[in-house]
Amino acid sequence: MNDAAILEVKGVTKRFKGLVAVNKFDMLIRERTIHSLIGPNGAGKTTLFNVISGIYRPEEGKVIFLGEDITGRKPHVLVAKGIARTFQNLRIFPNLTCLENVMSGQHCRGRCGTWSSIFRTPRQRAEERRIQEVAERWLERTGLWEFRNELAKNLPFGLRKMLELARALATEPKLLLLDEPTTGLNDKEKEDIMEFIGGLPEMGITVLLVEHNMNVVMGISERITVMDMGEKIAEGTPEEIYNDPRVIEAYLGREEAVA
Amino acid sequence: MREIIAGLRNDPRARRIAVGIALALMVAFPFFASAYWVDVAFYLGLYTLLGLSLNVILGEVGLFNLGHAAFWAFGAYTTAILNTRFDIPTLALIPISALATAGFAWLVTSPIIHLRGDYLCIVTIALGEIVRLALNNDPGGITGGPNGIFGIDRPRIGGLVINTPTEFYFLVWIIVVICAWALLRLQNSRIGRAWNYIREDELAAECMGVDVRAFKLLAFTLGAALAGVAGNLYAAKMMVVSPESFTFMESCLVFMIVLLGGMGSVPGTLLGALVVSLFPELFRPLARYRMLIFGIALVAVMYFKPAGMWPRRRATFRSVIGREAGKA
Repeated sequence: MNDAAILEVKGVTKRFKGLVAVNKFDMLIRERTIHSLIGPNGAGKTTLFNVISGIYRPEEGKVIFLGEDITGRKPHVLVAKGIARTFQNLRIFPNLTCLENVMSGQHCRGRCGTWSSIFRTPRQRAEERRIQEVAERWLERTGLWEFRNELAKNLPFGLRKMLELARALATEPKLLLLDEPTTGLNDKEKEDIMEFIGGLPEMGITVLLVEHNMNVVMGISERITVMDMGEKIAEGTPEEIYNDPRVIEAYLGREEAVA
Repeated sequence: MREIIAGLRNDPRARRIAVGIALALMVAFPFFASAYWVDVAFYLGLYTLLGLSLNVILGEVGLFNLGHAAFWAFGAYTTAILNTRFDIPTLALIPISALATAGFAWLVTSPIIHLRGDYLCIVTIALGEIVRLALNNDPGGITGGPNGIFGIDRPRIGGLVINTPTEFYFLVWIIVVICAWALLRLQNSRIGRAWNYIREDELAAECMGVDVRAFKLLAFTLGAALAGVAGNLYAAKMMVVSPESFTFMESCLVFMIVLLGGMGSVPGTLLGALVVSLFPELFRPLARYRMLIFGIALVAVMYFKPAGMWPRRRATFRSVIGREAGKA
């Protein structure tokens, strides 16, 4: 097991006009692991996620990726550095084909500009070919091969979710941020997608998984961070989390009371 | 008919033959048609070029630009001023007008490029009006005020002066064909796809590594450059430019060409330009109701064919890794 940290979140605070969504948050993610961030709805998980992926700039604190301070850098810069993400409520490109959707991931690995694209220089052709090849491989691995020329909006929901995952993977990320990858899926689809995610560390990809459903992450995560009201309330292995009284009180207890 | 069209679409050889026939007809056209219709065809070419230039901004990237006449005017006035004051030949001014208009577009759209949808629309309307009013007010005595500038030279190639409708017809359509070819190639490249990603979902595009700001600016400058070329041709044809040629209505017409034809579709833009420039010619008695009919047409197309009359069909790629479909 590799102990090197890939991502460090240090004292991050994000406020929205007085509402503190994330408060002095610390978190450390190790390379080639699956790290889960869980917490009840409204705990601030997605906000923290948006801070890490560069959509929000935190008021305080730092985000360190592979030893480099990346706080407040724009998302497209972070993608090139190796941080990719998916969205909680699915943001594919509906009127483009699946292949074109996944090819978007390779955009940041390309260099060719307007003139070389118009004149189709040898370099440009080679680059296009590589972009397409990487995209095709990910379509194959995610089982979307037969839909490659289909418009993305015509896919059923479960496959669109998989398409978004393939698109993020096509950026060749070192760290993959997944925001509730199982929401809206049936049990079979959930199982499939979690099995696929479980295989990512072997390919050298670190995963940060955000979920509000605790059961989904228990079997797959190496470490779990629990968040509530913008603060970290627990961190540890799945067993430790499962037996932590604070977690049961803040999280499971509340859910059981509702159920 | 439907089968023939479907067949043409799927067979690249048939498509090439169809394009070849279309080009041959275009070359033959001025030798059969009267000077009047050749002139109409010149303006059709001009509007096609304007449509293509706005299509880059509105069609490919989805940026609502209702001030496109500003770029067209900038190109026309650049040509008019440099030709009448410094005697630079109008043909040589084509690239200069393109570059100057691109620079102008970069300057004025940089501060507003982050605006979305309706907000950008309002600001570009203002841009169009500001440019028109500025030309009208004759800043520094260079634009000639409401009368504009006249005495612009005809384009010449060596000893040949481009003068007759037929010669102008060929000049504009050669440029249109070159631009259409270049834009079709851009569509199927990293650049064109990045534009489409932004149109489909700006945030997702940014999070997939597309520098949204840079690519929006690229679209604006490139689109403006082509509008600058159209301005140059217009100035050379009319030999006079004045602010009243570049009204808000012109921006609307070009906007409509793109919407009617199909956002991001090159053949659609041609079709849209055909409708917008031929309709007033064919139905002269209805001239008073022109805008009313255009309005109804726009609503009808948006209702029945929201993607336009000739929407862009996404390319199917031939597989690089060479698997058969379904055997993966």
